Amino acid sequence: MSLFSKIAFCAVSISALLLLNIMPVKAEVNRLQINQDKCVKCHKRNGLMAGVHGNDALALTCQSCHGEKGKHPRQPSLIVGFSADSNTKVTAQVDSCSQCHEHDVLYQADWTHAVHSNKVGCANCHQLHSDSDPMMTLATEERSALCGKCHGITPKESDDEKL
Amino acid sequence: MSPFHFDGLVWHWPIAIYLFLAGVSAGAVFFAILLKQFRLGDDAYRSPFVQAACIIAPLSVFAGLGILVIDLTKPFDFWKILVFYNPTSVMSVGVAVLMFYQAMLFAWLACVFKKPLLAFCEQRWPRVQRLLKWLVSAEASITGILAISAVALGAYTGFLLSALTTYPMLNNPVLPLLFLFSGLSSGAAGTLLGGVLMKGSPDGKEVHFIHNIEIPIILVEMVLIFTFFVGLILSGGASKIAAFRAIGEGFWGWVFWGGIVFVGLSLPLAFNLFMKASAKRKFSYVAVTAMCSLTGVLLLRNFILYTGQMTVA
Amino acid sequence: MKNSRRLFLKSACALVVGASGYTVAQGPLGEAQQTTKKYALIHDETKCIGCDACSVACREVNNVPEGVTRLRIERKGPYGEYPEQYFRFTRHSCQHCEDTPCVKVCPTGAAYKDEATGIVSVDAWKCVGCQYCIAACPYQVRFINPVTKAADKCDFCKETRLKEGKLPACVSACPTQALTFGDLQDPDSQVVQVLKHTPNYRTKTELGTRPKLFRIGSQDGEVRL
Repeated sequence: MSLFSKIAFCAVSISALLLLNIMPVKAEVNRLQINQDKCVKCHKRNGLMAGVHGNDALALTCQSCHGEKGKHPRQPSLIVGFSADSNTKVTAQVDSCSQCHEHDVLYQADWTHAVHSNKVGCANCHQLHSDSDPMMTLATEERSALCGKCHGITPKESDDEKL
Repeated sequence: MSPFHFDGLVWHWPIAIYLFLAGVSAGAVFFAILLKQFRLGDDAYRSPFVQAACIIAPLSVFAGLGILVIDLTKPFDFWKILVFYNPTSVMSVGVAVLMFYQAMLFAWLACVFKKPLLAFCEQRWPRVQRLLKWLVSAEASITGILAISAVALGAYTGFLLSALTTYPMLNNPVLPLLFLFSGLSSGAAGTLLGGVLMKGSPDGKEVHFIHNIEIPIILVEMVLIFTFFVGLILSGGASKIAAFRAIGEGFWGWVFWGGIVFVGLSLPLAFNLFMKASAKRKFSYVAVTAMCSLTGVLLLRNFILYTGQMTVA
Repeated sequence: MKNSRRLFLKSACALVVGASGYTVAQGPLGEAQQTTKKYALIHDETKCIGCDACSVACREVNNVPEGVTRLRIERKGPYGEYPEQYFRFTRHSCQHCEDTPCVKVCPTGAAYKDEATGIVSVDAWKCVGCQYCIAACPYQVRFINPVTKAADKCDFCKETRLKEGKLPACVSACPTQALTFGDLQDPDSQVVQVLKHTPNYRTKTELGTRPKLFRIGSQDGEVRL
């Protein structure tokens, strides 16, 4: 075989193998009920629900959390956005999650829920669309560092480190 | 809150047993000295009661120290507590007192058993005989110093706990007196029990002598316990809370009223007074009274140790 | 013969004088040249967010085993009505008392106060594990280290960070700078400035311990009679 043929053969076989590895997972997520919503037509990259909220047994739809489509995207709508640059008020974001998650129960799971509920949106820490939410497996050191990310004051180099 | 597991609990039942055994040893020695000085003289060593006391005193103090060493978190380093001292530490002073007490105890035991010991060493160990004769020549001083050391040991068990400012119930000036008197009473009970078990006469002059001292001791103990708790309640604040937690409802409340006040103090007092009034004392009366007393003191040590640590300042 | 005896006497005297001089130099007269410090810590409860970064840093820097801790933040609350709720945080760690109950009761002298720094420490070798100090500490901050089996507690990072001229781990790790550390005897130190200008309190002072862990109180969440 010529050099070109060899390279082409390797490239094709490796891609095929990669696709075969990825495809089953992608196929599973793709088959979830929630990902059949028409929102996915435009929001293919960031809209697929791979986390626990996508479980068919919960029978959730994109609208369950994000609200009705309304005139989106051609005109402004009441759609709830959870990202950092979203226009949605924090209270509206938290209300969306509160439909199912009672604040008492959240407090039992972690006390920090009680003090952030009207100050910070849930998605500031929790990531629902990815297949695992990093908040579920936080180590103690990571948790402390997370608090510091928002509450931290940038230390002054000169007097902080020296006695 | 479980009676044996709660926040603030640092010292557990092994320490209570050590405090009990130290008191028994000091008390037994004290009564053995009194018996020898005031009733039996040089023939004291023949009396089963004195013999019992002379066995109990060293054995219980060794057992107590053994328990203490095992209870350390670094038991093999126990020698450091015998080498390094801190004069502000009650425990350190107590260790010094214990070492001195043990030395005096063995010197005194040698004096008590001088006749059989001298006879035994006659042909065999002349050096030991010389040492013994030297000890006997100082017998009066040894006896006096030992008596003081025994009282110091009995009181030390209380001072050890009363030095803890963390626990308002223990940080109390009555505690050393309470432990001293309960220690003496437990020593008396141990001597009586050991003596009648060694076939001593339950109606002999030793029993009469000890009972005559034991009755005032039990009365003093009752007064001290009363003073202790009323004092705590009147102090108010954390002391008052601690007192009610100790003698109020619950496991330890039962231990106090049923075990200590009734079995440990009231029953022996009643039996003693009854025996004083009746014609002849019997083995069973003496033995049962002694056992009630001993149970009461052991329960007292555990009760004070556990309930004391229940309330933090 | 006479000369050798004289020589012996002269050298013996010289040795004695030299030895005495050396011990005098080490003693109180000699120490006058060294400066003593009294290190203290301020925990600002108005800034503390209960993130436990201090506790995490302490564990890492001082190799504190799992299951025990030199420092913990106690959380009280929640106060207020949802969604306006808040907590109050208090620090529990060695207070480095001026009148230490633990040093007083230690039978071997393993618990000691370093006069040069005012820091209360434990000599793990001398400690026999009698636990008298653990019972004697009214703040209940001492524990038996499961690895060394000796008593242990916060020592202001004396063996770790202070030796490198750095601040204790907890002070550096705090994201809200709620901890201030310094020498009480230095009138220009931040610690002294804060204490002189901000109302502060210490706990259990009625026991006479004279602790050196100061707190700046946040408003109470509850009414305590």
